[in-house]
Amino acid sequence: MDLMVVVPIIMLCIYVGIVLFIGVVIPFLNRRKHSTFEEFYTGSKSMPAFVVGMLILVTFYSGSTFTGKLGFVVKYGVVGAYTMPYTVMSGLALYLLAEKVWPLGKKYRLSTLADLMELRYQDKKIKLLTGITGICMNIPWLTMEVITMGMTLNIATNGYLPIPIGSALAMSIIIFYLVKGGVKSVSLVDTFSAILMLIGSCIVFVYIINYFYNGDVSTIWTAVDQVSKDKLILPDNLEIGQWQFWLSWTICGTLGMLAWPSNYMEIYLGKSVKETRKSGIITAFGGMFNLVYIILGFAAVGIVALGYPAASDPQFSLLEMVKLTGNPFIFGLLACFMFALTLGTMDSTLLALSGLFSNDVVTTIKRIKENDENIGEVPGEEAQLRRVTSSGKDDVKRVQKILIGIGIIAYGIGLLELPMMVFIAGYVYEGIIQLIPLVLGGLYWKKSTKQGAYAGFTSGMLLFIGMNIIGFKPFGGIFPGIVAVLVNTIVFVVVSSITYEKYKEENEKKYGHIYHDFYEGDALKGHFTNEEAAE
Amino acid sequence: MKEKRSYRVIFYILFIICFMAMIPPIFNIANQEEVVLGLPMFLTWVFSWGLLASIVLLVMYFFDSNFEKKHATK
Repeated sequence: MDLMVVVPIIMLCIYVGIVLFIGVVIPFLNRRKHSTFEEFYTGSKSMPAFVVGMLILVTFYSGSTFTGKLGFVVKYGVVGAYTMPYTVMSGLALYLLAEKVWPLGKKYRLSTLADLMELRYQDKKIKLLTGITGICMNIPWLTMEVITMGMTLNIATNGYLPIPIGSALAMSIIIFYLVKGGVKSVSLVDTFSAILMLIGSCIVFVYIINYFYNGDVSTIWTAVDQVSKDKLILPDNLEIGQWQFWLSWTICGTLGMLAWPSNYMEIYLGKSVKETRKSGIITAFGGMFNLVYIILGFAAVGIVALGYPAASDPQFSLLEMVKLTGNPFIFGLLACFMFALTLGTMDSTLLALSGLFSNDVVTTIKRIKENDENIGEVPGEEAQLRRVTSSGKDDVKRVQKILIGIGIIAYGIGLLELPMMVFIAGYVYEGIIQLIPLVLGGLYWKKSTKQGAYAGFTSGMLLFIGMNIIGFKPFGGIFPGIVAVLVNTIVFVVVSSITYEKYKEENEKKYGHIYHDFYEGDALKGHFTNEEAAE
Repeated sequence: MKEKRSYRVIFYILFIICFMAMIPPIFNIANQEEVVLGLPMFLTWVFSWGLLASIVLLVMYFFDSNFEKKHATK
């Protein structure tokens, strides 16, 4: 074996060792068992901004960043910068959501987006609907990362480790520390992974520019100009559309942030509104970091003008470019942070998905059958405490079992042949944004009714699926999901307006305390921090 | 009584401007081959507006913190 194989393998082993130490040993030394689902899933809302911010960052910069997204820049040029606007706007969305969602989560001891929707609409079936949508839209994301993990390990070991075995190995590591430590392990591992990614990618960036372009970024553009001039501007005849693709992604990405289940898990992780707001700022500034992989993508295009061969597959451009340098340490570092990113996306998505399945589907079906009271239906702290602690340990055991099951299923699906990752991600975002009228309406518009929510969601989802089946993309390439969400919103507003008076008559007296908390400005002022909430 | 954060209107306007600058048709202004500040003009444009939006968010955070501090002492 040559150094280009041995060194990356040793570096990956060191990384895995550190992950197992911080993900398993540290939580084990704490010796505190999770007594409720809320604690396992949100760490009882106790994390500082830096940890939450890093967790979000590592979810945004998934493993596909340096494969799929970079490959997209190699293939299509500057249009690959579409990730920048939506990451920045997602930071803003997170900031604004935090001040509404966190205090409600604290007061009513919520763990998921579906919990919040049950509280607002006082309807367990809406919770079920929100949970199932979240699961359906998260599974493709999970399976995408399964294959990226295997591919990264395969390339890092020069093909010695077959993709299915690499994926299985990585999946086993994730499941192991997730079952042991829940969200606390995720936050420790992901903070470490995010730091490794930020520092590692900067080192690789500087090395590549120095090696191929004598340390001068501007020479990249001269090289690209010689081989593929059209990539420096947005071309008119791009096969995927031009402004339509950009606009669709900016809208879907930003709105998706407002409905993405793992983002609510991350909001609830913060120890106060202030800390969660800060993590929104970290996310916005983190959006600027996209420039690193965009420039690296162009560097991969430009090396052809310098006499080097083009990558066999655009998605592996960076890995192959680093291989050309012959530096085993840089190659090892790249393999480590790419693996760290897939691990980071995978663990938080897997945890979020297991939580949705256990809390939003299994428990909710049980509660519907037993005709249990809705979240917040009985006011007072004691009622909320009773709800989360009555079957706390069983809930934790269930979510741990589900976690293993989903991990195995995702692994199986992940090994199937898939189209380019960016396009799969697009479908997922289009689907999840069908929850937007229901969620934002519920949070900010008093006249929202559950009838409006059902009608809007059904029409939006049917339209989205129908348009995809017939392959209709309006205005020359706008994503069908955007048109569907517009129709969804109109139906939601119309039906809510029609049904509001009756809804108000039936509910306002009984659930007045909930409406007060949702819509009376500073009603939850006392719940801005854990300490204030305790008082 | 509902807290009024009237200063936020200005921030929201700034966010809308940043957002509009980053999407079509306005971003076509920068869709040119020239290299500006060491990057293709389009990348410089998107990066600068994104950075500006992030800075505006940071400033809004300080305004919000001051506002909440004032209200807490009242």
